[in-house]
Amino acid sequence: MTSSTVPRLSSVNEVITQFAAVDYVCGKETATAVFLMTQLQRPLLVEGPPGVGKTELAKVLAQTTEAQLIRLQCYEGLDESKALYEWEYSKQLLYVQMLKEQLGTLLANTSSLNDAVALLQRQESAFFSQHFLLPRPLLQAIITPRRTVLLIDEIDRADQEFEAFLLEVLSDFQVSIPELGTLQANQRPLVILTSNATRNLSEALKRRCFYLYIDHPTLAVELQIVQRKVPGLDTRLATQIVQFVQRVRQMSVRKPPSISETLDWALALVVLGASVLSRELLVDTLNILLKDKEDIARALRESGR
Amino acid sequence: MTPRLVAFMRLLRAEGLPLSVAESLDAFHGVDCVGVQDREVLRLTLRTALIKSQHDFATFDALFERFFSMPRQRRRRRGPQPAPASTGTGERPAPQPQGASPVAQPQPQPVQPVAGQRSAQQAPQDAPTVAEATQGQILQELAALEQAWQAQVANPQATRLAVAAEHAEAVRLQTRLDRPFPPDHLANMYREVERLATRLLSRQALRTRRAHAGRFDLRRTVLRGLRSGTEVPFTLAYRRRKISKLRLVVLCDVSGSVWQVSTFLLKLVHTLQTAFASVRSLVFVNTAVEVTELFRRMRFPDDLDALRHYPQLNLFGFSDFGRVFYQCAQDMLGDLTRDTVVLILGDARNNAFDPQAWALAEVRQHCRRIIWLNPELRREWDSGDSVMSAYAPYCEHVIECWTLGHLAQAAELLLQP
Repeated sequence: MTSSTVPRLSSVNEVITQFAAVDYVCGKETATAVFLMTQLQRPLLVEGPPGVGKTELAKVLAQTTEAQLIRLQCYEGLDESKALYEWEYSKQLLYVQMLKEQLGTLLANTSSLNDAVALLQRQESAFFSQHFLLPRPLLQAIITPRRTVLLIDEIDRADQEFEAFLLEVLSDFQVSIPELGTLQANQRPLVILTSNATRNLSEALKRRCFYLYIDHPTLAVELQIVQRKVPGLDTRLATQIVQFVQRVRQMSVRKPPSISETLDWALALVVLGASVLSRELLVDTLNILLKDKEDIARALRESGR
Repeated sequence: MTPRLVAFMRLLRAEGLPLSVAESLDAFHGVDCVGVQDREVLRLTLRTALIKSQHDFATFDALFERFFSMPRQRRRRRGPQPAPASTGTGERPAPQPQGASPVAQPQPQPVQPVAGQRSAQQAPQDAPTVAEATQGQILQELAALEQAWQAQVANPQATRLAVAAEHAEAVRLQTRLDRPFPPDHLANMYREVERLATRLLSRQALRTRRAHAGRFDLRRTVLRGLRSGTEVPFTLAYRRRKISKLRLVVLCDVSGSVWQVSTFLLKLVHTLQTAFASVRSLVFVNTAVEVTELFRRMRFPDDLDALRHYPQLNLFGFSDFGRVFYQCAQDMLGDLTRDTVVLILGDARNNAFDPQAWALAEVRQHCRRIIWLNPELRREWDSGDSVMSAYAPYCEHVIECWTLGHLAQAAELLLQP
């Protein structure tokens, strides 16, 4: 038993109860995947439609394991300097300016240019130390002494090149900085990668990760979620809401409503003091659930029948 | 349990699900962690470790169901003796016990709920041998396990399944693309093509990434500093080696005779399109029609028909390559650059029209290279109304394209800088 194992997630069922304690309802699939990734310390790739709680999973994992959450949001054009580290160039320059006089006195009794350069070279390391290093999320996750959950969000938005780079970091959690040497994680962060599957990720990346697909929840699960997250919601209304949402997902709408939208809608209905889902209420508030004009029209039309 | 798992993974592989050795090891470790009491958890564990695409879930679940509900005979649970319980099918007692025992030692008892582990090593204590073993040893062990399994002939039915499917794997690359497929098989084929393309893509990505990392350029940094009047160079300059992405123009024959092969090619190009700066796609029978926009956000195979029923396309006309090339030479030359690759798929059966090869020559002069894929067997080229040899001199590569293997070859050619 070492400090790096996650003490509180000792079995698949334990994961379910622990997560439920922080209001994250998950099934066996999610629990098994999380359990495996914590035990074997492999990255977990989570795919699924938007808004089913992929990012939330990472947050909850951090919370239950009492770890710090470091998030790297991916976007097109993300590169190493934004993800790993940068030298803080302006700070280095500032120091050079401020230390000008000291440099002057230091170099005063050197006789030739060569001597001066040699002397400076000996001091060089002062300017390429961790002090001037600007760690970005990936490096942060590696050098931090605390237990960490690293969330790499929407990896499918980053370029293929970045993915290839990420592979190197994920496989051994060490980074070589030419001026400083190799930095090694003293404990491996738990890594969660999320993807909306807008493009196919490379085989190599998938090979190194465990894989979890989170789909829209079933009626029972969604009902549980809504009741947990929206306090003061009447059971009957909750059932009506969830049933309606589930039905909308069955229709071929452009953007099926996500859980977060269900929650927003339920919250709105509670604020409005509704007790049953009437037709007028539906017409008035459906724009919270669906964000597309045609979707709204279709949902109203089909629910009228 | 282990030999049975190995057998199961073989089956998965044989069914075309891509598993690597690393993934198999993950699966073993995973099973060690969760135990085998709960069938559902076992299924989810294996799936989490082995299957990396939601599309493969159905296949996996079906196979799991089939494999783990097959009647199996009693087998040793512990001890080095192989105890051949099988029906006396060729025993090979000597090599297995030593080779198989370290990992094969099954753990029928519930494993301790918390699989303890050292900080750096990810392996649970339950399988210390695996954790400490080097990659080579592990491979050896796996091989030994597999051998052990074969010797025991764990389950004749499973063997038959695996062998039959393995054979299928061997001939997969030989699969002819121009034969009719049953609909469900067709979806598989598209996935196969996609898999092939993504593999190539990641290799390509690695190459461009290496080129991206620029080296610090001292000379230009100092010069810039001087120019701005401050003595301190504020702006850094990097020396970058530019590998620009290629541009692609696809000219695809969609007439009835080559349509099916065309769909696979389109699928390939569709998957590869991120590797190009731009993809311009045209389909033709006797006139070329630009379908770039539709193609970019196309879904396979649902939108294929939309592609073919483009209003301007005369689907029932006679193929006329000469006219299409003439059209290209008229309209497209301005858009071709030295970074443009032109990819043509067609059987060059020109229905006795004028080949107008000079038009293709013109196109060739304006682009980087032309690749021609011909969905017919080489020996059928130039027979009847095929005018392949009239066009071939202007193409860098002319290859046959009627199996998956050919398609792979084409993809390689495409991605060449």
